[in-house]
Amino acid sequence: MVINIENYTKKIQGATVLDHVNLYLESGSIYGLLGRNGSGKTMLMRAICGLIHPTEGEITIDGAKQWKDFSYPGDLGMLIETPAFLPDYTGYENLKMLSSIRKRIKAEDIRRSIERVGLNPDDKRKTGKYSLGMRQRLGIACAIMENPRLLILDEPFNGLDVDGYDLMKNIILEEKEKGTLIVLACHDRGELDNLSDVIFKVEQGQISLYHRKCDEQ
Amino acid sequence: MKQSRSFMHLILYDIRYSFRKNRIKWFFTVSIQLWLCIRSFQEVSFYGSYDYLSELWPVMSGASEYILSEDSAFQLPACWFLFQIFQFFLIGFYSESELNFGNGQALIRTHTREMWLASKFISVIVNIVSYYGCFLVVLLIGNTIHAGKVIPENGMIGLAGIPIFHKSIWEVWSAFIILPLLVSVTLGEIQVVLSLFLDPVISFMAVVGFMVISVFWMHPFLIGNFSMLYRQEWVSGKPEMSVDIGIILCFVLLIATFTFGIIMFRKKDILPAE
Repeated sequence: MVINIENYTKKIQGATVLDHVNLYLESGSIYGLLGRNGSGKTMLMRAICGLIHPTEGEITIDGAKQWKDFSYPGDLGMLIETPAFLPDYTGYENLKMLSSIRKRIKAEDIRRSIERVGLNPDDKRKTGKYSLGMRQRLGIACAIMENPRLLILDEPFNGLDVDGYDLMKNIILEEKEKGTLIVLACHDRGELDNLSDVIFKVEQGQISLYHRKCDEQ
Repeated sequence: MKQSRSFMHLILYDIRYSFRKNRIKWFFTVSIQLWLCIRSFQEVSFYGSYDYLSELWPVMSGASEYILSEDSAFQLPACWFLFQIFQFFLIGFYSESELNFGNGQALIRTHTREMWLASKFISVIVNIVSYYGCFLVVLLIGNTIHAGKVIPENGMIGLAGIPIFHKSIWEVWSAFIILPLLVSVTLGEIQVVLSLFLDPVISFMAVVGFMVISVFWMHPFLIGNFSMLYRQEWVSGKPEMSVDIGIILCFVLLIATFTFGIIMFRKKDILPAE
């Protein structure tokens, strides 16, 4: 998968939240986004996911133009901001409900995804009773359950304990090994350095190359 | 082929999810409908007519034309109003909340935005048909217990004494059920489109306001009038309030709402609520 973002600008109520962004992203790599709150990281992720329209510019995925050839990247898993679930469903029921839209995976795949993030698929507790960390884990399970080729993760380590932190790092690296294109935003600069192949700095909607692992080597 | 199968999955998801999400509201729906039926039975039993249409009349009749004068008092027809408003309360909040579910998790799993909105429209139709179906079944059970008939024996609807012996079964059912159902579906779709661009509470209040205005002012463009039997041509005698005109107006509005909804929803940015 190749994502090409060209001259992408987004204005909301007169404010420029993404300013002439140009990016080239390829499968099998982790791209880190570094920036302060409100710098435009999440908005860039929303743009790739097809949740917002550009004021200018375009995104192409494998040569197909967004908003012309497709609305959403077909093989997308995402976790943007706080994961929200139906509070009166169990974790498994929530994921089963969502997976019924694409019907690409079976019950065992859902169970495996929940187990991968360290939760119990047979847990009868409703997600309304989940802690922040548990909801975060379930959010990641939701993002990876359909074996996406593109994974968008916005602050995936939020609310996780030390074990959860390590588990998520391993999952991200496993997904990378599978050839998934991963875009990751994280407050922990050290962790972003550790995980990402390329880091972009986002500042006032503008993006610049901050660090590339292969340059180091 | 792949897209149509995926669309079917989406429709099934929306129907299942909307019913499950609204299950407490459905409990109240059945309770309210049961209460409306009991009230209706009490009214008709006073007149000694136990036929289905007479029992349906108190809920579906609404009010006759309101004529503003110095000594006239405006009054909402309570049973009709409650029946109408509760269905909009039932369907009006699902689409917006589903859109924001997990910050667009469901939306990104659909192929296109058109598909997402079309599926929501279908789920509104299914919910409203179920709402009417549920009421008709509850009423039918009561009617069976009364050992009543469907059509009044003397061809006059008990409470109102309106003659229906000259009407075919199709004409009777299109006036009593099909047209009011079509009006509900049309207003329900308008409410859903509004809720995606305004607030769901505001869009609900807008539909409630529209129904109140419809009671106040008899005009075919205020389509709420067509869901009141008293306002339809065969009772009111106003040719512009015929069932045919009502059906045509509803279809025109449905097509316009869907087209407008699609155009606007394509351009909509899905941003966090705050």
